[in-house]
Amino acid sequence: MVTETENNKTPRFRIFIVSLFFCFFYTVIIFRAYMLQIHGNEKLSNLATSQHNANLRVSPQRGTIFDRKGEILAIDVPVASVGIHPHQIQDKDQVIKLLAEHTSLNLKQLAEKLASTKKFEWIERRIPIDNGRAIESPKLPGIQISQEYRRFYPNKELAGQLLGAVGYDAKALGGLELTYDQFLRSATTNKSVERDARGKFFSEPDQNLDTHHLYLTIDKNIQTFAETALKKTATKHQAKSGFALVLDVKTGEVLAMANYPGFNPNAYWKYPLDHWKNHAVIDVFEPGSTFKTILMAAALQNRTTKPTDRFFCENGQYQVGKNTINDHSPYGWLDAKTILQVSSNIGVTKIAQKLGRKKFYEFIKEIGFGKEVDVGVSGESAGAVRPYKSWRDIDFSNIAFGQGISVNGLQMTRAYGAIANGGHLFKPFLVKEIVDNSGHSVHKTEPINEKEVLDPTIAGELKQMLHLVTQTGGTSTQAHVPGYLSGGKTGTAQKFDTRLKAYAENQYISSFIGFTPLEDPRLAIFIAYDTPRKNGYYGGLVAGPVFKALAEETLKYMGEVSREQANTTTKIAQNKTDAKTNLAIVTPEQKWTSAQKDLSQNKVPNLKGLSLRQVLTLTQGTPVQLTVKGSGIVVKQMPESGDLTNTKEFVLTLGERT
Amino acid sequence: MKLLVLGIFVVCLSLFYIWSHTRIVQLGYEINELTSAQIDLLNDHKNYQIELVLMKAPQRLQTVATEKLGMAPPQAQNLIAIDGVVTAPVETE
Repeated sequence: MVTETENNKTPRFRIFIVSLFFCFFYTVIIFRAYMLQIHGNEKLSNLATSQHNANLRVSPQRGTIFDRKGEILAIDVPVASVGIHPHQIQDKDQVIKLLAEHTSLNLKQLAEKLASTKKFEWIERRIPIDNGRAIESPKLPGIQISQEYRRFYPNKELAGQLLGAVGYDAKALGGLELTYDQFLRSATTNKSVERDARGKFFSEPDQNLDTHHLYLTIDKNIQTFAETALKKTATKHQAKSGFALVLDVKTGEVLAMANYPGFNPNAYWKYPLDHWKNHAVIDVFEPGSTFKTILMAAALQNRTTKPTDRFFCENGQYQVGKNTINDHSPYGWLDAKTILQVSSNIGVTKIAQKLGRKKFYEFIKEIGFGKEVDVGVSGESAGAVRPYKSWRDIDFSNIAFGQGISVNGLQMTRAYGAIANGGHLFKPFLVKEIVDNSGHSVHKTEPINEKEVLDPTIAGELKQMLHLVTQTGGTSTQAHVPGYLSGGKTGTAQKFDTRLKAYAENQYISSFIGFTPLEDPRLAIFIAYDTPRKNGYYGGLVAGPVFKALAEETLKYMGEVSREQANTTTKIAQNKTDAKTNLAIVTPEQKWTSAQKDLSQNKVPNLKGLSLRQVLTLTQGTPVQLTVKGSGIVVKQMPESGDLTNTKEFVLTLGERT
Repeated sequence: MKLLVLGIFVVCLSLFYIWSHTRIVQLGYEINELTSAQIDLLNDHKNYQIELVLMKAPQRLQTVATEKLGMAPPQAQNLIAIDGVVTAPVETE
C-alpha cells in the first residue's frame, strides 16, 4: 500500500524530471543558438547572404545625342541577350526548339552550344526584346536572358562619321561617341538584389544612371541638305570622297558636317575603315586657290595692297627662280580684286612678294592655320605650315596660291567665317549643351570670339571681292545663289603623291568655300571633293553648284528673306499704306504677345493670324471651349472682343493666310 | 497576472514582428513588379520615340512629299515673307 507521503512525492518527482528535461532541452537550444549566432556567426551569415542576395550585372547605358532642336540622333534601345548554363538544362530538345524559334542560330549550331562543357555560353546577343521575353516566359532551367542596350541611329547614315559608333557593352568606337564617352556612358556595375527561396527577386536594382545627354550644334535638316547635295554631285563626278561643312559665322556653331561616302553606324562592321573617316576634320590637303583669299586678307590687313592696286600678270608665264608659274589664261594688267576674281597665280605671287613672307606667315598663323581647331572630334589634323625662314622663293609663291601648305576643312571654314562676320575668329564647336539624367545642365558652350583678325572695313572689302567670284567673269558663276548675294572662292588643287613625291596626274581636290547672304552673312560653307574622275574636275564646276544648292535650301529653311521676298513684302506694305488701310505688318511674335496680354487682363484676345496650336497653348487653363472650322490660321473669331469671364466658347474659322 | 500580461505582450510583439516582415517581403514583391512595369513603360516610350524619329526622318518626308503627294520645293517667286522681319531691299547689280 502506498502511503500519503509517497503519493505527494511522485508528482513532484515527475515535475522535477520534466523540468530537468526542459532545462536540458532549452540548454541545448541556447547552446545551439549560441553556436549558430555567435560562434559560427560569420560563416553562416555569409552563407545566408549568398543564398538570399544575388549579384546582378547592370548593363552600361549611354545617354541620348540630340541635334540643336532636340531631334534624336543616337539613342539606346533595350535588347535581350540570351545565354545558357549547359549543365543546368534538363530538356535539351525543348530548349533547342525554343531558341531556334527566337534567335538566328540554326538547330545544328544550337546543339553544339548546348553540348559545351563551359559553365556559361552566349547564344546570341542583342536580339529584339520581344524575342527575349518569348524565350524567358516558359521559365526553362538553364536559360539566362539579360537586358542590354544597343545603340541605335534612327537617321541611319545621317552624320554617321561625326557621331561615330558603339560596340558591345556600350563601348564607344569613334566619333563624338568616343570623345564624349565619359559623359555618355554609365559605369558597368554589379548590384546586390534580394531574392526568395525560389529565386524570385523582391527588390530591383535602382535605375539611377550617371549618363548624360548631348545637345549638338548640328541641325538635322541642314545636315540632310548637305549630305543629299554632296552625294548627288559625288556620284555625278565619281569622286573618291568629299565633305561639306556649314558654320554659323556669328557664333562658330557647326550646323552640318557631312561626309561622302556615307557610313551607317547601325551596321559599322560592314564598312571599311576609310568610310569611318570624318574627312572635314581628319583630312589635310593643299587648299589650292581657296587660299588666295587668305593671302589677300593678309595683304589688305597689312595695308600693302588695296583692292584697286594694279599688277602686271606677265601674260600667263612668270619666272620665279628656276621655276615658271603659269596662269590658266594669259592676263596683262589686273587690279587686285580682279586677280582674285579670275584666280591668277601670277597676280597673287606679286601681291605676296609685295607683302613679304614674314607678314604672310604671321597672318596665316594668326587666322588659325597650323594648329588644331579642337572641335571635339578625335583624330583632328593640325595641317602643316612651315616656318617662313625655310621658304624658298618658289615655296613662297606656291603658298600664296595654296600649295606647299596643308590645312583641314574646318580651319578653312573658320577663316572664311571670320572674313564674313567682320573679322572675328570664332572657335567652332559641336556640342551646345550637356545635361544629366535629371535634365540639369552640367555644361553649356557659349560662342568664343578668340580674336579679331581683320578690321571690319578690310573684311567688308574682301567680301565684296569674293562676291565677284560668283558673278559673271568669276571662276564660279555656278555658285551664285538665286535670290541671295553670296561670296566665295573656288579651288582646284593638284594632289601631292607622297609615294612618288610629286604632284599626281589628273588627281585634284576640287573645292568651293563661301558665305551667304553677303549683306549680313550667317553661313560659311565649304564643299570639297577628292579626285573627281568624271564630268570635269574644276572646283567651280564640281563644288560650286553644291554650294549653291546647299546655301539656297539652308537659307530658306532658316527663314532668311531673299531679295525677291524682301522686295515683294515691301511692295505689299507700301500698297497697304497707300490704300490708307493703316494695316501694319504684325509679326507672329507681336500677335502672340498681344493675345497673352489680353488674356492676362481677362479680355477676349485677338486670335486672328495665329495657328491652332498657338491658340490651344494660349487658351490652355482657361475654361473657354473651342469650336474650330477649317484648317490653316485663324481668319475669323467669335466673339471678337469683350470680357473673357462672360465668354464660354470661341468659334474659330481657320483658313489660308491672305 | 503580471506574467500573463507580459506573455500576451511578448506574443503580440512577436506577431507584429512577423507581420511587419511579411509585409516587407510582400511590398518588396510589389515594388519589384512596379519597377519591372516602369522599365517596360520606359522601354515602350523609347520605342515610340524611335518610331516618331523614323516617321519624321527628312528622307522619308521628302519621299512621301515628292513621290506620294506630288509636292515640290517652293521656288523663290512662290515665297512671300509677310510675317518675317522685313529687311530693306538690296540694290540689284
